[in-house]
Amino acid sequence: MPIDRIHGCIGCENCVKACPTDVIRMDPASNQAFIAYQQDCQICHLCRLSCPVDAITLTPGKAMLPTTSWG
Amino acid sequence: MAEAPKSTYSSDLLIIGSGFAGTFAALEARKNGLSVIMVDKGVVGWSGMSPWASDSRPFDAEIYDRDEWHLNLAMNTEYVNDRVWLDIFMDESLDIFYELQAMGAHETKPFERGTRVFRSELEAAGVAFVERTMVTSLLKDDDGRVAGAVGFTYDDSREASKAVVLNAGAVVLCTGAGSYKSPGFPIWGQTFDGDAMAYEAGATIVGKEFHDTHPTFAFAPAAAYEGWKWAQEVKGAYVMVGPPNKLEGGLTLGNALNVYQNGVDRRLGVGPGGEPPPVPGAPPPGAEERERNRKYLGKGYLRTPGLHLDMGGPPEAPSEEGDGEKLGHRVGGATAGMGVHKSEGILSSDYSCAADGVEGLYAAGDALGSMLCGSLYPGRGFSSYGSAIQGRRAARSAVNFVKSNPPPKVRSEKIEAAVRNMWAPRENAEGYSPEWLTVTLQNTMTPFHVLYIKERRRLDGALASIEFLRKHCVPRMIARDGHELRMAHEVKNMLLNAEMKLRAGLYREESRGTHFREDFPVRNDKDWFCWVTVQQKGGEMNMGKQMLPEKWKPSSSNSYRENYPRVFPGEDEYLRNQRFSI
Repeated sequence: MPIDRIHGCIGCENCVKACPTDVIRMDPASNQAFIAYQQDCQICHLCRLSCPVDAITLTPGKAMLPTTSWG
Repeated sequence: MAEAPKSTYSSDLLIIGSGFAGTFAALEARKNGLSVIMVDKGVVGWSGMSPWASDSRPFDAEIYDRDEWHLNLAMNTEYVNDRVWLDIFMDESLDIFYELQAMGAHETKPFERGTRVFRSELEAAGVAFVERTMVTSLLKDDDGRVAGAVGFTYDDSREASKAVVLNAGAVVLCTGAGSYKSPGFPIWGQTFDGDAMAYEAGATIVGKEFHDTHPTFAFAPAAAYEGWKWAQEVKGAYVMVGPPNKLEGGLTLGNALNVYQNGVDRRLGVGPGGEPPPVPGAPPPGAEERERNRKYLGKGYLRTPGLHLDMGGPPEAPSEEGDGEKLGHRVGGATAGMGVHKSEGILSSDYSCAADGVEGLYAAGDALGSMLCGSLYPGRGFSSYGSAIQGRRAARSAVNFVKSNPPPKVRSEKIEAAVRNMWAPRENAEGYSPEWLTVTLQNTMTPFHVLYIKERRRLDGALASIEFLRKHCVPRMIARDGHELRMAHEVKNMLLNAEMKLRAGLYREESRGTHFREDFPVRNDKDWFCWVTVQQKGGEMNMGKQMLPEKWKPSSSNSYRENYPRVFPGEDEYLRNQRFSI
């Protein structure tokens, strides 16, 4: 898995701003960051490096999308 | 269609992208009194590849020899580097070093530099930001002058996506390069957007046949951060000591050629270049270069306190001890689609950073095809400083242009058409997902026998697929939300790049640097001492040659092998059998 979970978010939005591929969004109801488009994570760790409370967990592996004839 | 909600902005100068190039361009334009809007696909301070820029190699005339730099860089990049741009780099890079120091950029880690230094400098200078906005096309007035751009906001979690119209007296593209969102390199945010917009506007694009050749790890190919961990742990200026090397230290095609000739070497090491493991008892690689560079220590800019000095040799292993086993040997394609830093993109023949043939359009950094680094990246330290120098230069040219021309006016029908075109994937009910197109593009272009080891029939085969995807699938893309609309425009731009890369690869019937043709495995200075250009004419992609000055050619008093010490597979046999001299 790439970005795996966000636990203990304080709602500062740093990770949303840092993510170059729009993986993380803010949930307007909870005012917390959530993983919206996990498949687009490039595992660059900028979200984790920018998080003031170390709430983000990433792993180096990634499930690659299987090739299909159309989609 | 339902009309997209719209925001409109106006400024003297529009800068697209906010890395090194965009930052230095914006600061320069503000110093000269222009109002500046900086629009970014992400957020200013986090933009593009700049959070990963680790190395610098400023030229200091007090300690370095200009001729040695010219000779070494020309040889390493196989003579198609632009020597005027190298002179500009040597004239201005030390100034960039001291300017970064004055800003406090030498007190940060690479990922902190943008937010702690660049962003606050830009804010203090009065640059206005339009963020999390993907720009998709340039606007032109009725005289063909670039007069702004159109884009959209993709984050629709709190408010619906909207169209963004940016009117300006001139535009500077600082959009970086791109890749095919390939695993193992943190460049997925860049998708050749500047090239695509400039190409559509009539600009000339160069450098597409050459490659960046970064590899990734076999057992965790998507783990981009693992290759960069070391850089993000360095706080302060990381300086490459000494001139660029004549042959070593560059991002060559070496790993791909080895795989082609010998199969995969599963012992390839974990250094950024995939360096093989050290031979027991042998001197460590690069020892001689490190010894040679000791003479510069304590002189010139190297007296600056607090520098991290890299004395040369292979780059530091990126991972902690033991990771080699866990992550595996190096495999190619981490930057599939990316050309050479500073050597692919928009051509500006007069060194002003103005796009050839398109009034009001400028480019800098990896969006500019300056050819500073020729056919391969010649060792570390050129990229970020090159971007800063070009950003400043592009702004100076744009300032003169804006001050000497009245503001342009774009007809509202043109703006509406651009917005409609941009929004089209949101309106399609049946068609193809951008995600599927992206994976199909990756599978078509990334294999080494297409990307690196080229041959006419294989290039033609890939080109037939890419043309079909562009002509049949791209107009029928479906985007269900703002994120997918961004993905749709990104894959459209990546597919355009793929066609350019295949056509440029087919067109250059020789081998040089990171461009290898099995069917033409030799350098041919007679016919191909040129850059290959791509330009849209009558809706078709036209290829051309920009011949280079005779005086840049390698010395005719040397043997071929003295000028070109790297040997391509099949090259010696080809040279023995040739009936004409090259």
